[in-house]
Amino acid sequence: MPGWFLFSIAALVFWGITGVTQKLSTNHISTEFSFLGFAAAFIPVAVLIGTAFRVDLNLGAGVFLLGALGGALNGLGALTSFAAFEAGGKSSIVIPIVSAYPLVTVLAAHFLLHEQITPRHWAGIILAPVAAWLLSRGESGEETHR
Amino acid sequence: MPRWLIYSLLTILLWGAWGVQSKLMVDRTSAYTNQVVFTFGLALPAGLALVSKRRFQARNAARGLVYAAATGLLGGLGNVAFYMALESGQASVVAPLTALFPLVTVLLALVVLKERLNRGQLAGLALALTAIYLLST
Repeated sequence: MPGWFLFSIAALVFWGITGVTQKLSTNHISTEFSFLGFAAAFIPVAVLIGTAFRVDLNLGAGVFLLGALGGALNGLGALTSFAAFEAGGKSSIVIPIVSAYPLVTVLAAHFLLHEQITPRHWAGIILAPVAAWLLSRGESGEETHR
Repeated sequence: MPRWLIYSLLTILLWGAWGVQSKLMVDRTSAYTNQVVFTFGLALPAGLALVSKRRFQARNAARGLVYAAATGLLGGLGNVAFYMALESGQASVVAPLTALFPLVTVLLALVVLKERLNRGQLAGLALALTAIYLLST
C-alpha cells in the first residue's frame, strides 16, 4: 500500500475526530470563540514540530507567503461555511455545495499542475463528495465542518 | 444571488484552493515546515473572528475551549499527515480521499455521542468505502 494512501487515511482519521470535538465545542461556545480556540491550539503544535523536527523558515518571502496563504485559505473557508448557515442557507443545500470543494482542487491540479487522472480515480473523485455529503447529513440536518 | 450561496461558493473556492496551495508548498519545503508556516496564516481568519460581537460568547467557556483546543491539536496533526500524503501523492487524488473525513466523524458520533445513522448516512458509508477503494491505488 503506497505511503501517500496511509498518510491520507491518517489525515482523514484526525480530521474526522475533529468533527466530533468541534461539535462538542460549539455546544458550549460560539463558532467564533471555538475558531479562536482552534487557531490558538495550532501554536503549541507548531512549537512541538519546531522542537522535534527540522523546520527551515529561511524560505524566502514568496514561499513563506505562499505557505501562510494555506492557513488563511483554510481558516477563511471555515468562517465562510459558518457564515453560509448564518445567512439563512439550508443545510440540505449548503452541505452538497461545500462538499464539492475537492473538485476545485482536482480541476486545478489537472489543468494547472498537469496531474494525470486515471478513469478509476475519476470514479473515486466523483463518488467521494457525494459520500461526504451523505455522511454529513445528520438527522437534525447539522453539518460536520472541518 | 443570495448571501448564503455566495458564502458557500467562497468556501469551496477557499478550501479547494488550499488543496492546490498545499501541493505547491510540499514541492518546495517539508510537511513540518509547511505546517509551521500555515500557523502564521491563521492570524488573518483569527483576526476576523476577533472582531465578531460573539467572539467570547459562551455557556461553558472552559469546556468549550478544551474541545476547541483538541480540535486544533488534531487538526494540526491531520494537516501534517495531509502534507506528507501530498509529498508523494497527487493532489487530485489525496484531496478527495481526505475529504471523506465525515466517515470517521459519523462512526465516532455513533459510538461517542450515541447518535443513530440515518439511511442517507448508511448509503454515504458504502459510497465512502467504495471511493476509498477506487482511490487507493
